Amino acid sequence: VSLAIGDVERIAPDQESLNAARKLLKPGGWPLRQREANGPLIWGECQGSGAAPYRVCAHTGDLGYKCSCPSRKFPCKHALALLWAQVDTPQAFAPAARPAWVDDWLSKRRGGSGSGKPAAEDAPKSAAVAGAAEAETVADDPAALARAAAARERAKAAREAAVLAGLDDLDRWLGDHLDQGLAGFAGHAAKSCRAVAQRLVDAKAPGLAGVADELPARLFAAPEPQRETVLLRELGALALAAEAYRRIDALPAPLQGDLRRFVGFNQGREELLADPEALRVGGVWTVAAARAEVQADRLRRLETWLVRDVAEPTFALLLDFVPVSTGAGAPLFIPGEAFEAGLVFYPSAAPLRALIQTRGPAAPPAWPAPAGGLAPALAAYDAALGRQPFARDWPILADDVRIGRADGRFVVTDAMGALALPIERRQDLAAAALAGEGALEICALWDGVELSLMSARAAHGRWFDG
Amino acid sequence: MALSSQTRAAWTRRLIAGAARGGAAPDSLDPRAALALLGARARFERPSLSEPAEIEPAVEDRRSILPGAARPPLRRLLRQKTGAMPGQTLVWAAFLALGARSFRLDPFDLPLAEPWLRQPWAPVGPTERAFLARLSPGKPTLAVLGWNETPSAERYRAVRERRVADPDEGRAFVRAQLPGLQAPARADFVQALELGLGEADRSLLGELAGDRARGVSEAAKALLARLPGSAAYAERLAAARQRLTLKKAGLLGGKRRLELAAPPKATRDPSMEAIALAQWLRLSDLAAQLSSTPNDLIGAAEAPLPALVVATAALCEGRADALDRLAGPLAAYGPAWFATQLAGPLGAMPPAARRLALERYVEAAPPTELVHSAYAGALLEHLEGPLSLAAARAMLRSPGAERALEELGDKAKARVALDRLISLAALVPRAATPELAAILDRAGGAATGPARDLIQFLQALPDEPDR
Repeated sequence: VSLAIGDVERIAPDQESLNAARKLLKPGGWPLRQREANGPLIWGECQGSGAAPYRVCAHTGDLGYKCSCPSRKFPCKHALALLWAQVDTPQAFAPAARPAWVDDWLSKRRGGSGSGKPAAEDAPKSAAVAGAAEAETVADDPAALARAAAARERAKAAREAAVLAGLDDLDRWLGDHLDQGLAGFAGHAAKSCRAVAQRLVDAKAPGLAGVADELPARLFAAPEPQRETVLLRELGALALAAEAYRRIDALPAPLQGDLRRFVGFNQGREELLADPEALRVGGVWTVAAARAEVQADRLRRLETWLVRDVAEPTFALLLDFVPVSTGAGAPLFIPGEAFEAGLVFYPSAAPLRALIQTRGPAAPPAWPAPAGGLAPALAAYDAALGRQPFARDWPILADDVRIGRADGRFVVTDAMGALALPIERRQDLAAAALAGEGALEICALWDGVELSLMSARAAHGRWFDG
Repeated sequence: MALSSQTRAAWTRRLIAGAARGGAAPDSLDPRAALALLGARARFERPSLSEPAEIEPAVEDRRSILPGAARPPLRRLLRQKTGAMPGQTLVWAAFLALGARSFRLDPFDLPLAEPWLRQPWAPVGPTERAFLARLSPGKPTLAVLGWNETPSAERYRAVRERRVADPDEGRAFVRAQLPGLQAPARADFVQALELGLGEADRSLLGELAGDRARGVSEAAKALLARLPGSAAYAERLAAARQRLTLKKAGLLGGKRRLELAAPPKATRDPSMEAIALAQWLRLSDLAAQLSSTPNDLIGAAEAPLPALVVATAALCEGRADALDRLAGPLAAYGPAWFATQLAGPLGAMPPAARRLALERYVEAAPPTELVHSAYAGALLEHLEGPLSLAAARAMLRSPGAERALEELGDKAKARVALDRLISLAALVPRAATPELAAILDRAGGAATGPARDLIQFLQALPDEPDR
């Protein structure tokens, strides 16, 4: 491979990208850098601002590349840094077998691994400058740091005040609907929820805004007889959060974290990593599902559900958000892949959301053994909800279940048929296929109304959603 | 704070009705606090269904699941839009190849394949049909259908499959099912006995010849007429004998030449008439009638029409080797003979003999029409597997393949030509896929990603399941 620094300069979209790439050359930012033993491909994982490291791979021959970051510069600084590192310190790249995600890129690359198109042709046309993802903080002036700290305190206080004001508006909105009676809520749910969601966004409570925004969809997705219960659940969750937030100091610290995230406060990556009290769990994690969903706020929510074959916490959720406008949205992981990793969990009464702190090599998938059928799975859900009442979708495991039909929709039912949980309509095709598979072991998300299947193990293999 | 069930019910009624602030509250709660408590309590409730869940019994499907290595390229093919070319042809070829090798889709790929499975040409087996039925909840699923409600073609195919696996077991199955069947289903079951028809079937067919339903009795009688020893068979044999003459030929009169007399009534298609004359007659019986031997008859059939008669009778007896010697005269009839035989003796021959006959025919005289989707499909259905390597190579090097390549340069014919070339893919065994890829490359077809996916798929697909 005759890659030269001139090649990296040539494909860089601008000088800023090169400067940013240079800062990423430090080995500490790369938990993984590898190369093909006898081939032109190199790849690595670069620790960015997201829950999971960005995955970047490049072809040193034709300079094709792929990165999971949301940057709209092509190539992004991560791809440039990877190629640059290959020029400067090729010994830093350990020879290894291509991981599945690199194979996945190759298979989608119509030009093929050996005769790929030049990078410039592969790249999307747009070259707009990335926003926050590209930002680099450089400040070493003590006075400036003090001013910045003071500004942060003022901003924090202003936000608290804004949120409390938003909660007052939310209370009024709830009170108005209770006065009118909830019987007629469905008739104007979309308009009314949008209005209060907008107000909550203005009040800097995006989490609550999201709950309000999603409420009509959840309401109408439920079967008619269940809508009253769903409405009470959703409005009740908003009422509970509004009331609890005003008395947040009285709550245990882990539950405070849950509530603040439910309202919409984000805990920064660095802050979490620096927290010595945060729960840290290492081991082999298997990707149960990788999902992408566009939210009402035009952010794409990327969920990666991890599972391990050891008791609590069995599951972890990596959450990333990218603006829809960037066009980025490919899942960061491939369902079924497994790797060793050290995770840091956000403070919670029932830890679930986490960040990858350290990333080890790939490993054979390790799935936990379910405790039994649907009844123990739902008991585990109840227990989690009892500890963390702000939880939404909760992962469950169950075995010896089957997919059947009831009330005109697909359901997951246990061997005795005593329990039956409806499967979300979006998965009708998958459910129709799995219904022919007999006894299944499932890994799914349960929200109290509908089940969303993430993975299922049948006699002839394992199925993954998507 | 815990709410009793009565209090919960009372508060729910008040909140729904808008009476939370009026009247006597069941306790001192604020309406919003009551809403929060009711909401939290509701999250622990289980969904209530008005009927018990219906679980479908397992679907019996004898085909093997596609090997995992063939899934990724097939999944890429299936992601294409239906109706768009050449994707439509590529998926069609992939499905043909899959079905012909006795594989079925991985059940986990059924959702992706769903729009393709709704195409009229899709090979829909028990698993796929059950999958589609589940998506149409208004219709009963296949699992609850009896034989009387199952579509006719499916009934026929099901019995035929059993007959292929074991003729005796197939006959026993038909006998066991007959009492519960209505007349149309009985007729399909009887018709399916034609595969591997033999002396052991005579007794059952004799009983069915007296069936009260005309369709059933006629089907049984038609099959009995194919069995040597029956009156109908003897009658047809005598009719053929009357039209055929073995004459001396050559300078010394040592050679024989078979001649076919014109039919009593003029016919518009002498070749079809000649085929019909010999249909279901055994070559050895015909030879005995002429005081000759089968090999002598094959050697004497030099002219095209007698060659058709002899080839047809040879196939009825499973003499595929006759096609080697008759390839010359048969080539003049190519597709017509081929199509007729597929619908007749070839279709009813035991699979191994049928395969041998078809491959000999393709090797000896690959007609240009084989390079056409309809014939490729018909061939595959009757081959029940890809061609042998030799036959596939003969076809890939045939004038038909060359002609299709030339037609690619002609704008008006390019699309059809590519369609024909790609349809070859379904016929070739794994060992011949590099040659097919080379042809597609010459044609420019393999330059497209989906065509490459098809080649990759074929390379990962064994020629038969590893049972």
